[in-house]
Amino acid sequence: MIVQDEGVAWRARAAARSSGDAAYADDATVIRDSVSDPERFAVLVHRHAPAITRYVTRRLGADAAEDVAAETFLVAFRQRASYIGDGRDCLPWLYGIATRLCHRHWRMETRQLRLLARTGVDSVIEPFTDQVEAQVTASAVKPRLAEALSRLPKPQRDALLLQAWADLTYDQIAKATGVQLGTVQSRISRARRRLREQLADLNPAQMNEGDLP
Amino acid sequence: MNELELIASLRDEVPLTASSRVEHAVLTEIAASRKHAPGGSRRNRASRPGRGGASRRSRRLALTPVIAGALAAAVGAGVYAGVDLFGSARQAGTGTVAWSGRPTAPWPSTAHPSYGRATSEAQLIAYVTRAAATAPGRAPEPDEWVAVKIEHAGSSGGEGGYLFGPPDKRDVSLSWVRGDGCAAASVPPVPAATTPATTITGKLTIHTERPGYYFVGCPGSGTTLGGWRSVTYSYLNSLPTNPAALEGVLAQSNGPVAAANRPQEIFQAIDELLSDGEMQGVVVPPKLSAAIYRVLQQLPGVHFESATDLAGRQGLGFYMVLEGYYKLELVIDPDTYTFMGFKDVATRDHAMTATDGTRNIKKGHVMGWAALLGQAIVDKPGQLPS
Repeated sequence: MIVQDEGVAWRARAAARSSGDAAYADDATVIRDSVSDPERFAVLVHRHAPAITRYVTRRLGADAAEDVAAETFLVAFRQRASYIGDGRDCLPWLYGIATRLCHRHWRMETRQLRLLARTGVDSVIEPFTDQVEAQVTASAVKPRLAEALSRLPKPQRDALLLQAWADLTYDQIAKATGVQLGTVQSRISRARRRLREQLADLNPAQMNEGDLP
Repeated sequence: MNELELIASLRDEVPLTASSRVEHAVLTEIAASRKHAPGGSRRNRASRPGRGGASRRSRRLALTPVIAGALAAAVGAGVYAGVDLFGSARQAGTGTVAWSGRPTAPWPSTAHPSYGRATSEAQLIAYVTRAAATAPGRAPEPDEWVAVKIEHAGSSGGEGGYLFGPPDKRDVSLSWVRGDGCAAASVPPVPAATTPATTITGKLTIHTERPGYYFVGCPGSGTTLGGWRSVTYSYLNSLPTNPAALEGVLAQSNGPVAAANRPQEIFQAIDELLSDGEMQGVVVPPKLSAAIYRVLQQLPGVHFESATDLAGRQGLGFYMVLEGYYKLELVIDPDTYTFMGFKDVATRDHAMTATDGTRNIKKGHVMGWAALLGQAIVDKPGQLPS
C-alpha cells in the first residue's frame, strides 16, 4: 500500500504500535517515550479520549465537547515533556487541563444549567436520549441540582465535579488544579455544604422512587 | 443519596464511548504540527488559546525537557533546599526538590509596628489604621514568594460539608505562592501535634502556571477569587478606603453564594478575601485591612467578640449569623491586626435535613475551623522566614 499523506501514514503506524507493546505500558512510560517518539502519544489519546470526552460533554454538552476534548490532548501533547506523574494513570493531569479549558465556556455552561433549572429539560443529555424519554425523566431533583451547581463559584464547581464526575481523590484534584490539598478540602466542603442547604427540603424517600437513574 | 451521589448521577446518561472524531482530530493536528515542527508557525484549528501567551509558552515547553528529578538540591541548614532554577529562569511545569525544615516551628514576628494589644473593635481599627500609615506594606516582587502556613481541622467523625464530629484531626501545611501569582509550591502537611523542634525531610513540589493549572492571582489566567475582579496587590491597594465606597466594591465582589441581603454579600466577600484569599497567598495591603475592619464594625448583623483560633491563640472575632443557625467568624490578631483564621460555629441546635438524612447539630458545634499561622514574603519557594 502506498500512503501519500504523512498524517495518515503516521496514524497507521501509531495504531499498529498501540495494538502492540505500548498498549501495556503505563501512562508515565508512554508519555516519557513520546518525548522522543511523538507517535507513542496516540496510545494515550486512544486510552483516555472516552473519559475526557464524557467529562467535558457532561459539563458543556456534545457540541462544544469535541473541540475542548481534542484541545485537551493537544495541550497535553505540547506539555508532555514536563509531565510528572505518579505512574500508571495520567487521567488526573488530563482532567486538570480539560477543566481549565472548560472555563472558556463558563457562561454557556452556567446558562445550560440555568435552563435545566427553569425548564426541567437538559440540552446536554438530549442527544443521548430520545425527546420523550428526556421529558419523562425530567424529575424534580435535576432542576434543583442544576440550580445549585450553577450557583457555585468556579473553583468550587471544578473541585466538586472533578470529585463527582471524574472520580478524582482530593489529592488528585489538588494536583490537577494546582492548589493545596487543604484548599481542595475546603472548596469541596463549602460546595457540599451549599448543596446540602439548597437541597435540604428534598424528601429522601421521594428520591429513591426512581427520580434519578 | 447524599448530595455528592446526586451530583454524580446528574447527566449520567452521557455514555462513555470511544470518540473517534476526537482521536482523529488530535492525531491529525499532531501529525500536522510534526510536519512543520519544530517551531513551525502553523496554528492548529482546535488550538485557539484565548491568550497569545499560552501557545508560545507551551511551544517552548515542548521543546525544553524540564526540571524534575534532575534537580538534586542541597538541603540547607534546616531551612530550605536551594531552587535556583525558579529564580530568574521561568520554566513552566511541575517539579520536585528535596526539602527539609521544621513545619510547626513558630515564625519570627513580622516587623509590623504594634501600637498595643487591641481589646475592642474600636481599638483594633485605631491601631491598624495607624500601623497601616506607618508601614504601608508592599507587594511581593514577581520573583519573590509568599510563604503561607495554615492549620486546618478535620474530624474523626467524618466530614460532609461540615465537620460531623469534633475538630480533632488537625494538620499544618506550608505553601508558597510566587509574587506574580503564577506559580505555587508546597510540602505535604504534617499533624499539628508535631513538635516545633521536629525536622521533616521530604519533597517540595512546585507548579508553575500553564494551561490546565490555574492560580487565583495569576493575571490572564482567567481565574480569580470567588467574585473578586482581581486579587493582585495593585488592585487591592487601589480600592477605596472610605467605608461606604468600599462596601460598594465588596457587594460587587461577592461570588454566587447564598446571601439573603447586602450585608451578607459584603460579609461573604470579605470572608472570601481573608479566609480563602490570604490562605492562598493573596497579600492584603494593611490599609485595605483597616478599611475592611471599619466596614465590619458598622455592617448590620456583624457582632464582635473575643475569640480563640484553632491554634489556641486569642483573637478578636467579627461574626455574622448566617442562615439562622451558625455564625461565620473571622478572627483577627490583636497584636499584629492581621487575619488569623476563621471558625464556623452553630449558634443553636439545628436539624440539618439533607439528602442523606437528618443530622442534629448541637449549639456550639464547630462546623469548620482553620487558622492562618503565618504569611511572609521570602526569596525562594521552600524558604521559611527567619
